[in-house]
Amino acid sequence: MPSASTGTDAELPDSETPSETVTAEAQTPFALWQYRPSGEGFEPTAPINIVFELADSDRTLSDVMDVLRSDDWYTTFEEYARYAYNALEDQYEHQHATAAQTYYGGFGRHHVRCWEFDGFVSMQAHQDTPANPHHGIESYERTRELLGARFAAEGWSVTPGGLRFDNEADPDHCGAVTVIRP
Amino acid sequence: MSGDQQDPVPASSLRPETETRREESAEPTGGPTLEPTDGRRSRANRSERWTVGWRSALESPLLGQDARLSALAIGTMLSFAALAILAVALDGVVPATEIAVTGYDRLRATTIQLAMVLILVAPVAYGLRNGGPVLSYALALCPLGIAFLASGQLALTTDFVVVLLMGATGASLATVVPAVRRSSTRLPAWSIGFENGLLISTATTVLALVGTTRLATTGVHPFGAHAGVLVALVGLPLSIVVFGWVGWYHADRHGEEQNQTSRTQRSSVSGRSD
Repeated sequence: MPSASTGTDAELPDSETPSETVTAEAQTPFALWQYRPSGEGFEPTAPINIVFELADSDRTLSDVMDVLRSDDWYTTFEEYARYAYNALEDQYEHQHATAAQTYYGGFGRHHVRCWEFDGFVSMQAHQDTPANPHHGIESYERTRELLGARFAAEGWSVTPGGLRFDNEADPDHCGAVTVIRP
Repeated sequence: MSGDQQDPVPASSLRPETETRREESAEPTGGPTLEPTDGRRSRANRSERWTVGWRSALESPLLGQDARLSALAIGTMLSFAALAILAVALDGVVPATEIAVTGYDRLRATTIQLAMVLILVAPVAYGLRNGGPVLSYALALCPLGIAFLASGQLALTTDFVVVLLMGATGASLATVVPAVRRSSTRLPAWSIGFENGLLISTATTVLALVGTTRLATTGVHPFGAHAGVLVALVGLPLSIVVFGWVGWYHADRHGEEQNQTSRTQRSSVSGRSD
């Protein structure tokens, strides 16, 4: 897991960017993308932009979700089925836990999907557009910043840009990944 | 305001014939007005009695003017509920294949779109077409109710507040517009149904006002950006309700005056006006 330790173990200032870019899921315990099935296997739809290193703590994905639940985020709501690649098991896995601010997202909402692989949580965080009629991506960055600030307020250690993934995506994700530790 | 026996106004002088007939048909037996010929009544089978039964159950100014449209609205809500519950039931059990996930995603997208139609369009469309403030409000509330049943949660969000806003708009339109259509003046015509509808519309408008102002004070992103517009939009149901109360005030006073005139001009009056 060379890239998982790159940048994450170092105490980086918030603005510092790690020198190495993670280019494949096999290099990290985290997922890089969320996927949907396609004729040729799976195709990426949105980038992982927040990760949680929980392996050396007693916290789990459930503790991550508890923070969102405390803000009245829904954990059962209308959303699509998405998958992430678990390199350890060499398989695509349906979203392990999800949360969103509203049930239907008719007028925009923040929305996350999470996967936990051996104590490493990968989160795809984004702001949905209003349903017109389908949801689109309003922003990745805004939700990444919002949740970074939210977990910092809860006392978690937050490093914006602590990792860089090769998963740039429109409209505004440059590959910078927020790393959060208990 | 609670029943015909307390009606301070001669019903026959203020209510059009169509409404009087509708209220009569709400009697448990179904009433002869729905089946005007003896021949048809004698041939009534169980199916016909059932039809008369549900029609009678839906014959209320608070539900709507046309029982068939009321039944259609209830059917729409039940269909939406079935669709939304199916989507939740399939969560996590859909095979990871392109065709299965594409179908599942479409089901979810359809549920979201139908919810938006129910919230944004149905209350106003139904209220304008068929009256019935209770069903107009129920159409807006239905998606929120399903969300609560499915998730056990009810959060103060833009979705929630828009439900309150559109529900109040639909209920107030459903109350005032049919009353204006019945009226010979530009103000709503008085009736028990109108009066009860006005109370319901007023309550829903107050709820919308409370919801929008509370959302404005939370400042949660991205809902804070919507709150100002939503607070302003409460002016829509509010103005309709105020117009309704103006009509109620004038119609009621007019009825009182007519009552007094009738008493002085005629020594023997019908017991209905007392």
